Amino acid sequence: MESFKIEDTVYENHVIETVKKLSIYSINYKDAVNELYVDDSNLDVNSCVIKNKEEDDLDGKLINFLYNNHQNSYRKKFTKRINKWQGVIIDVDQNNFTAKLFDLKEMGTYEIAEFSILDDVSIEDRDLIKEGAVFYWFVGYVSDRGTMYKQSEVRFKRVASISVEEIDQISDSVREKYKDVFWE
Amino acid sequence: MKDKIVELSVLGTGGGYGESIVIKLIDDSWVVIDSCTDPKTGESLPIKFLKEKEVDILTQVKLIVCTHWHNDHIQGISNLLELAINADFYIPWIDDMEKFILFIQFDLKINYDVNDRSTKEFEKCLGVISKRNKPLKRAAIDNIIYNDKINSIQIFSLSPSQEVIKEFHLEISEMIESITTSSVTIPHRKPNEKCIVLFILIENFKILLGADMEISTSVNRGWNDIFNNSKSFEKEKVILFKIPHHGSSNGYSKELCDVILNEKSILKLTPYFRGRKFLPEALILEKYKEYSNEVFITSNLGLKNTPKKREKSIAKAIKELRPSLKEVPFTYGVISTHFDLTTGTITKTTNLYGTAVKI
Repeated sequence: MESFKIEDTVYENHVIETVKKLSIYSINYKDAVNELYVDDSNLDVNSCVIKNKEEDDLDGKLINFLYNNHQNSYRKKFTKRINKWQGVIIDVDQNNFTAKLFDLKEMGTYEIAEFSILDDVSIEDRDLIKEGAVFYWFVGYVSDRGTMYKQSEVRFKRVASISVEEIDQISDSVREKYKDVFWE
Repeated sequence: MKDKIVELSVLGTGGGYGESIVIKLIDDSWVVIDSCTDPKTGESLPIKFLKEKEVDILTQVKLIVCTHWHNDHIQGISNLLELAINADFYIPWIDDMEKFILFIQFDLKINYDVNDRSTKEFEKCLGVISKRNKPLKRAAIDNIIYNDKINSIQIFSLSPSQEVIKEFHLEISEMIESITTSSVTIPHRKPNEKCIVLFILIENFKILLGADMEISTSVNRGWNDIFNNSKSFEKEKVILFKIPHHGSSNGYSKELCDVILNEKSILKLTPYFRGRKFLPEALILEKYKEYSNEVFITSNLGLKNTPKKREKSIAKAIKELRPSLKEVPFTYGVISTHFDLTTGTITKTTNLYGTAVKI
C-alpha cells in the first residue's frame, strides 16, 4: 500500500480530531497522523486529496485501517464507547443490584437492568454500591491488536468532598438567594 | 338552583412516572395535589389536564399541595406554581426550613448532574416562591388548609405526625453532616411517613386521599397516628378513597378500611414499579375489593421485554452484554369521578380515559 501525506489542511484537522476521539495516541498525534497509511480508495492518487469527506465513513475507514494495519510505534488497544447511561441503584442484594437507567443520548423513558457485583463492578468501586448510588454504564467496542470485541463498563460516580470554604459559600448564598421565602 | 358539582380526577402513569390529583370544587375553584410529567415531552400532566378543561390556571387554581418529595409526586410542580400565582402552596411540615433549604443546596452541589433527583424540582419551587409575595405553607396533622364556608368545603391535612416531624428535624442534620463530610447523600429514612394525607369534607360527604402513607408499629406514626390522634379525621364512611402507596401491603390498614369503606365507596389508585417490585400487590387489591367493587387503576402494570429501540450496532451490543435491560413504558390514564350534590343527595359517575381501567 502506498502512503500519502494528507495535504488538505481542513481534512487533516478533521482526521486529527477523529483520531483523538478514538483515544489512540497520547502524544505527538499530529506527526503520527501525517505518517498514517490510509486506505487508498479514499484518495485521489494524483492530487493527494481525500475524496470522500463523509465523517462517519472516515471514522469507519480509520477504524478498519487501524484494526488491520497497526504500526509498531502506536498503541495497539483502543476503545470506542457507543452508548452511555446514567444509572441509579434501586435494589441491592448480596450478589446483584438492579438499577434505573437513563440513556444519556436519548432521554425520555427509563430502563432497568440487573448487574452482577462480581462481574460488572471493579473491586475499587464495590464500596460505593448501595441504594441510591449513581454510576455510569458504557457499552462499546474494544480493539486489541486487531481483535475486536464488545465491552460493558460500569464506573461509579465519585465526588470530591465539599471543602469548608464551599460550605460557607453555600450557606451564605442560600441566605441571600432565598431571603424572600417566608412561611406562616 | 345552581348545580353543585365536584369532580375529582386521579391522573396516573405506569412505570412510576408519577401521579397527580386534580379537583374541581363547587365554585369552579381547583385544587391540585402532586404533579408528574410526560417523560418524553417534559410536559406537566396536571397543567395539560387543566388546559384541556379550559381552566384559567391563574385565577381558578386556589390550592397546590406537594404531599411529599418523592420524584413521582413532585415533577413539574414548579411549572404549575409559576402559572398559579395566587394559589396557596403546601408542603409537609418541616420545623427548620432554613436547614432544609441548606440540605437541598448541598445535595444539588453533589448531585447536580443526576437525573431523577427531586431536590432539583424542589429548588425550582423555591425559586418561584421567592418571587411571589405569598408564604410557603406547611401542613401537619389537623391543619385546615382550605376552608370555603359558603359551599361547606373544608380540606384538612392529617399528617405528618408530631413524632415524625421531630425525627425529621434530626434526620436533616444527619443528612447535612453526611454530605459535608463524605459527599454522600444518605437516603431519607421512611420518607412516606412524612407525606400529607388529606381529608376533604364537602357538606356531609367525605373523601380521604392517602398519598403514600404507610402503617407503622408506633401509635404516633403513619396510619396509627391519624386513626388514633387526629381530631379532624371523622371515622365514618367515605365516598372516595385514594388508596395509599400504590396498593402496597405497607399502605394497607385493615383497621382504617373497616371504618371508612363500604360498597358505595369509590377506590382509586395508581401503579408503581420499582426494580423488582410491582405495585399494587395482587393480594392487597383483593382485600380492597372485599369492601367495594368500585376499584379503579390508572393503568395496568406493564414492563416491556425489550430495551428502547436504538440503532443496530448499539442494540446488538446491548443484547449480548446486558440482556436484562428492559424499557419501562410510559402510560397515562385518568379516573374522573363526577359528584352531583345539587339535590342534597349525591349522585356519582366515574369516567375512564387513556389507560385507566376498572379492576
